[in-house]
Amino acid sequence: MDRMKNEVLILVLDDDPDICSMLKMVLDYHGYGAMDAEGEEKANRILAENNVDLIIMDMLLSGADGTDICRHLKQDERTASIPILMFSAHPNAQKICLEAGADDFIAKPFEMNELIDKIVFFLEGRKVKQVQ
Amino acid sequence: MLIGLVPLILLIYLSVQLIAEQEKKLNLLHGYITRIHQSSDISKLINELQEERRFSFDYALKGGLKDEMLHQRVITDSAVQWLKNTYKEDLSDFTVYTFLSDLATNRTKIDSGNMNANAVMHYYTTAIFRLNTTNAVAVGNNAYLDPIYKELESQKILSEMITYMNIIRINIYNVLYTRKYMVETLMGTLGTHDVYETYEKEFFQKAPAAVVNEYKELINKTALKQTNDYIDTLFSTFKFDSTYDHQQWWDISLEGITQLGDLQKKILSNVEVAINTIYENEHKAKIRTIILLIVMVILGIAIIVYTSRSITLMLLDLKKAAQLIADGATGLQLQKLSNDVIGSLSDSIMRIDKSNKVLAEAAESIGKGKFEVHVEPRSKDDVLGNAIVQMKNDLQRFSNERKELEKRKDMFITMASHELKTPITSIQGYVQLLLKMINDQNKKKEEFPKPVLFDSLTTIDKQISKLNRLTTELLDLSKIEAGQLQLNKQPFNLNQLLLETVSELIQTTTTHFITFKNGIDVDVIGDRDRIGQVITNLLTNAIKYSPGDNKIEVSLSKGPDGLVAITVRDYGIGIDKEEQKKIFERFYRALGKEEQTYPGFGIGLFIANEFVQKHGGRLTVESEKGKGSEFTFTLPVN
Repeated sequence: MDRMKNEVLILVLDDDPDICSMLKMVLDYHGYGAMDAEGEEKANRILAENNVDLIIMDMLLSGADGTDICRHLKQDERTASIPILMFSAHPNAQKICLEAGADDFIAKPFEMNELIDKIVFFLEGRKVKQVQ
Repeated sequence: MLIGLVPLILLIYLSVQLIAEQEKKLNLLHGYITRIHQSSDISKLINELQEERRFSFDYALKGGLKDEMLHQRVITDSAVQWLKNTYKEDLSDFTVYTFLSDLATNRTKIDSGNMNANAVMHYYTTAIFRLNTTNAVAVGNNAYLDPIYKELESQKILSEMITYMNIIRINIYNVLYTRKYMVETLMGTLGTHDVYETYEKEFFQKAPAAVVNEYKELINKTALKQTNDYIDTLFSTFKFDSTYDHQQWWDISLEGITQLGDLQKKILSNVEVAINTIYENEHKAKIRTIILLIVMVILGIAIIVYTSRSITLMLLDLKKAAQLIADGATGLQLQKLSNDVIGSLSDSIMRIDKSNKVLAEAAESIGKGKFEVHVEPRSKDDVLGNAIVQMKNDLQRFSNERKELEKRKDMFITMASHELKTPITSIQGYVQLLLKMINDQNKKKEEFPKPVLFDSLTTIDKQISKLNRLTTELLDLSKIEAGQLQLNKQPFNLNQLLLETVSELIQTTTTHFITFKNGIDVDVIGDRDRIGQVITNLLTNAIKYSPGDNKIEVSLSKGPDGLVAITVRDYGIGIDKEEQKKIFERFYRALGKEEQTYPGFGIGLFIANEFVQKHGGRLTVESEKGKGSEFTFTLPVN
């Protein structure tokens, strides 16, 4: 279980460094590998250089709209298959995020257990895909 | 309406004139016909008088033929009576002129032997002469008698000829009867015969060819030839031969004169037929004129009634249309009317309606927020059109402002949610992680990693401060909006506050280098916390909007009018002139690359400006796009 978890790499995309640090710490504690980016440019670099299994990102980023980045990722065949979990504090965010192509949504502030459950759900899906 | 009657009245007047003229013509023709009949009747009377003259002369001379005389008187009287009865009015002076009024008196004289034969002959001859002069039908000068002019003229000449022939005949009879004064009588009658021949020449000239031919036949073949031959011989020889005795002469000359009279009657009869034809034609023409007049009058009245009715109907339509327009309706249906004044009026009303409709539709579209509708005032005097254009512009501006504010509010809610919930997310994440770690540690009996604990608590502390600041901003906004902002004014050292605030900011930023130029040491009276908020706001803005350049300068200097000025200068993205007008408004947020926004509520500068103004100072900005901004606020010195 642990060995399998360590093979996983999650990309955290948020312009707030505190959120990034917090999430990395939480993911690390749960045994997932995590990298963070504050904008699209750095995210693309990480995605090109690493085998990312899941993207967790904020809908609202300074200098760019998270939903645009989500669309770009889903339109790019190299990244289209990577699940994207978006979070936001916006009242109508769920609809906006899912329309932008996000695979799931979680409202801010979120329970850690809920976040971890969703991550596990996506990674189980990946495992099923790999087995097939 | 009344004007329309004028031509009608004129028409009736002219028609009445025409009818009167025709009536006059008919009366004239009728008069001619009457005169022709009268002439025939007078001829009859002349004949009867001639008979009475012969019997009376004989009686006066020799006392013979009394019975014949008395019998003839009855016939003569009946002829006179006939004339009197038939032509009552025309004959008022007739009996006096023709001496018929003396007839009864003279008869009594003859009967009593008090009137000699010459006097008898003279009376009757004069009466017959006068009668003859009244016998011709006057020719007159009427164009419509042209076709029978020659006949009329010739019968008149013939009438004169008969008159003179009678005189000649009687004179000759007297001589033959009395055998006295033969040559004297003949000499006196010669002049009369000359007159007769003059008339005969005139007759040849003026009578129609057919009549002349008939006359020539008479004087060549009949008793008239014998009469003329006898007279011609008499005047060429001046001797009375024994061809005729007085009785034979009377008979033969009577027959000759009767033939002349018959010719005159025949001409008159032709004239009567012709005049009757003319009369009937004229009468028919009169009837036609009257019928035509009636038709025209009816037609005229019909046209006037129709015209005035249709004008009234058109005016009613126009009135209704004008009423509808007055009531504010549009989309009228007026059929195209005539090309006259009413048509032009109708066009004008339709134009009014059309532009009202256009304006109403434009106003409706504007009301629904469709500002792209085009409104063109008809002229500079078009109050309504100009008002709608003004309304459109005002509403459009108002709508744009409202949309802008709505957009800003939406953005504010989005940003407020994000800004408030992000620190909470952080805090919650760390707290739940720590809880889980403690829990796990208890199970596994492992060491609790101190660096993790320290980092977590430091971040939690920082996020709580951030939350506190954001909450304060929101509360301040709410107080400002409710007009309940209260300042806790106390004297404090401004220099000291600036130092503290700059130091705090220096600790929170790792990217920017802040310098504070300590100009003057000054005390002010004010709300120290609020002023601190203003300085913090300006500094965080300076950091936020200068991502490329890390230099920020803060200074405190003495301004004019006993004010101090605090300036925060950055070398960041700057603000263009248009944006500078809006940055102190609520919910306004600077636009970054690709129209994306920078984090924040968009109320920081609004609150800062309110605080500064509440202290009696002013917050201003000098900036140039791409070259950074310099915010300065002033405060009155203690």
